[in-house]
Amino acid sequence: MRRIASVGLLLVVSASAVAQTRPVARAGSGALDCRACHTAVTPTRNAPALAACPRLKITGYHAVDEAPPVITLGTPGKTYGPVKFAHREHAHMAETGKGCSGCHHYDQARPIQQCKNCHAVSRRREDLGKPDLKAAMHRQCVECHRAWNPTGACSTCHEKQDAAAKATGAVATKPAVKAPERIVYETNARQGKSVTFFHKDHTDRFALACADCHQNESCGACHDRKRVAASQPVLTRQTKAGMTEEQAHERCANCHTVDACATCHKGMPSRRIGFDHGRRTGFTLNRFHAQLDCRSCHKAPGAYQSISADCESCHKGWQGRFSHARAGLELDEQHQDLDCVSCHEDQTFRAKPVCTTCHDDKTWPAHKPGKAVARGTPKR
Amino acid sequence: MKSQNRRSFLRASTAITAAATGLTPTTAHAGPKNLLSPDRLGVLVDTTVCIGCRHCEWACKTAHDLDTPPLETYEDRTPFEKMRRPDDTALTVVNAFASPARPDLPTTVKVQCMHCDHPACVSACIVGAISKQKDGAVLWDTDTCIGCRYCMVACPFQIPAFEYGKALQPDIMKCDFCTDRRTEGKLPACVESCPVEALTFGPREELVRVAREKIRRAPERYVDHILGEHEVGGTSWMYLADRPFGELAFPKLSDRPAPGVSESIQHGIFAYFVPPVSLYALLGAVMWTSRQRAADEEEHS
Repeated sequence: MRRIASVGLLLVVSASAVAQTRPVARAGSGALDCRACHTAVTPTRNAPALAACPRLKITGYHAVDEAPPVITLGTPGKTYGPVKFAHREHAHMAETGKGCSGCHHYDQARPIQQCKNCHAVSRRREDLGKPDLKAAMHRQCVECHRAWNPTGACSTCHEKQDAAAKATGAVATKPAVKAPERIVYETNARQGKSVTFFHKDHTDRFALACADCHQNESCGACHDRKRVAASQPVLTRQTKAGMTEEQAHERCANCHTVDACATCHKGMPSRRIGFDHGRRTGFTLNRFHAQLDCRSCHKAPGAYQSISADCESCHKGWQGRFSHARAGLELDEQHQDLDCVSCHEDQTFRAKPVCTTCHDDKTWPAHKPGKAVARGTPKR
Repeated sequence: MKSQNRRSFLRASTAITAAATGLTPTTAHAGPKNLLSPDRLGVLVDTTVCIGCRHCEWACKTAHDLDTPPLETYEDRTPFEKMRRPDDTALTVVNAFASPARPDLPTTVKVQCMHCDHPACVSACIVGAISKQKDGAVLWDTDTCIGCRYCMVACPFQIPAFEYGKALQPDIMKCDFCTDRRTEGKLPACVESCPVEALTFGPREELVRVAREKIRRAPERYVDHILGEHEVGGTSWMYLADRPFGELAFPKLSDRPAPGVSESIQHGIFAYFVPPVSLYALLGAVMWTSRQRAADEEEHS
């Protein structure tokens, strides 16, 4: 009997050990699952069928590399910004120490609970038995970091707020969020076609930030780049070109009102981008064209419309008045009176000129039909 | 608030004495005992959580318009090399004590007025400038204070400080439990600034419950003693620690209120003015009888 019991015990222990090393459930990744909180299939406003919060240790484990690499903790304060927390690196270290539950204590199976779901944001609160959010976070970090850096300097973890950003309030303030009270979804289900989702109830009760649920969405869904109302965000930071962000976006955003930021920014909102005329239209701007205002060529009002790439469409009657020295080559006497197309076969003057029409043994740019001069400084 | 100097105080006290002798006794109880509200507030200081960042010192000075160095300078750990006491320039200080368990991490203890439930300073103040408030705070009225410094002698925690450096109108200085901030709906400055909430602010009864629960849950972390729960009759500020409080420079105190002995003698002598009146009456009677006797003897001779 004792033998059977010991074998049984061994099985249980080894099974749980396997469960911890192998990713069983994907905790804390992806969007929220309604069933994580609601026990009934059709929760209603009056009977939400909420699961009680059991003070259990984590039961679902995932591989460390599935954990989010970096998490931003806290919100910008008066002096210091939030902490960029290298979560994955810490998770790797935790494997040899207290494990995930060292920090994610009393957590439910999934999703990984946010600290603020249990720890009050305000220090003035009813339940004094648990530290408030700020203290809970600080205690987690300080527990280890204090021994390594006993000064307790805020700047150990927090970056000091940029004075300029603080002055403009670009980092610290956000306009009020206008979230819907409720959303009614129409489904294909045979019964209960409409599903009423009480958006405000969810965000208020669980103190959710927008990005907790709205992941991989267009920035433009919330941030109006045209700023039709004063309450909407003003992009006032200076770009490298000396324009405000609003000015920098204006040319595109006048028409591209609904495109996601990633259409231009490739998923990196902060990356500086320019409109690559050559890649997007097939007409690479030379350095003269690049200096022009878009409207110099795209004259039709409204959205920029495609125009002919033919030089004549803008430079009417240019032939005969053109000084070739502008292109950096003063033609010699033999070539001066030739038609352009004799060498420039493509008519757009962007392909390599050809010599073979007349010369069998000459090629550009080894042989030049004249002498090179400084480009762009023509003598009329 | 009427300002009072020594002369007006003496004049007033003479008038009061004269009036009191001619009137029926009034109920002149020592106030504090009757004021204690069950909702009175307090702070629980968990010294096992405190990291010694001294942000509370900075916040306290800022809140009380005292000369405050920039916050960054508080990263300096050299002030811990010697023991400090709260004084007229700092209403609260943090001291460090070597920890036998963790030599690299000293135990840091914040010191300030404990806001006793039965304050010795209130009892000792001869002009009634110090009073115990319903919300638990022990406050003093600068305008009434005559600068006798009896409160400094009476305090079992040696907290009240005196502006010795000021020639004109020096004040008694001590923690005022941030009464101004609290009336604005804010937390005490030190409590608000503590990054790890080693200072928990709330109703005193709730804090005792929280402290007991902490000890019950982590008996290895705390000694089974809440300093201030019973000491000198109970204090608004209470402490938790990982070792006996004597090792953290707390004075050894009995559970009896500090003013108990002196008050019982004083109140015994002057209770309802019965003893002095009876003494005068007795003396009067003796005088009267002796005079009567002298008159009789004169008549006989």
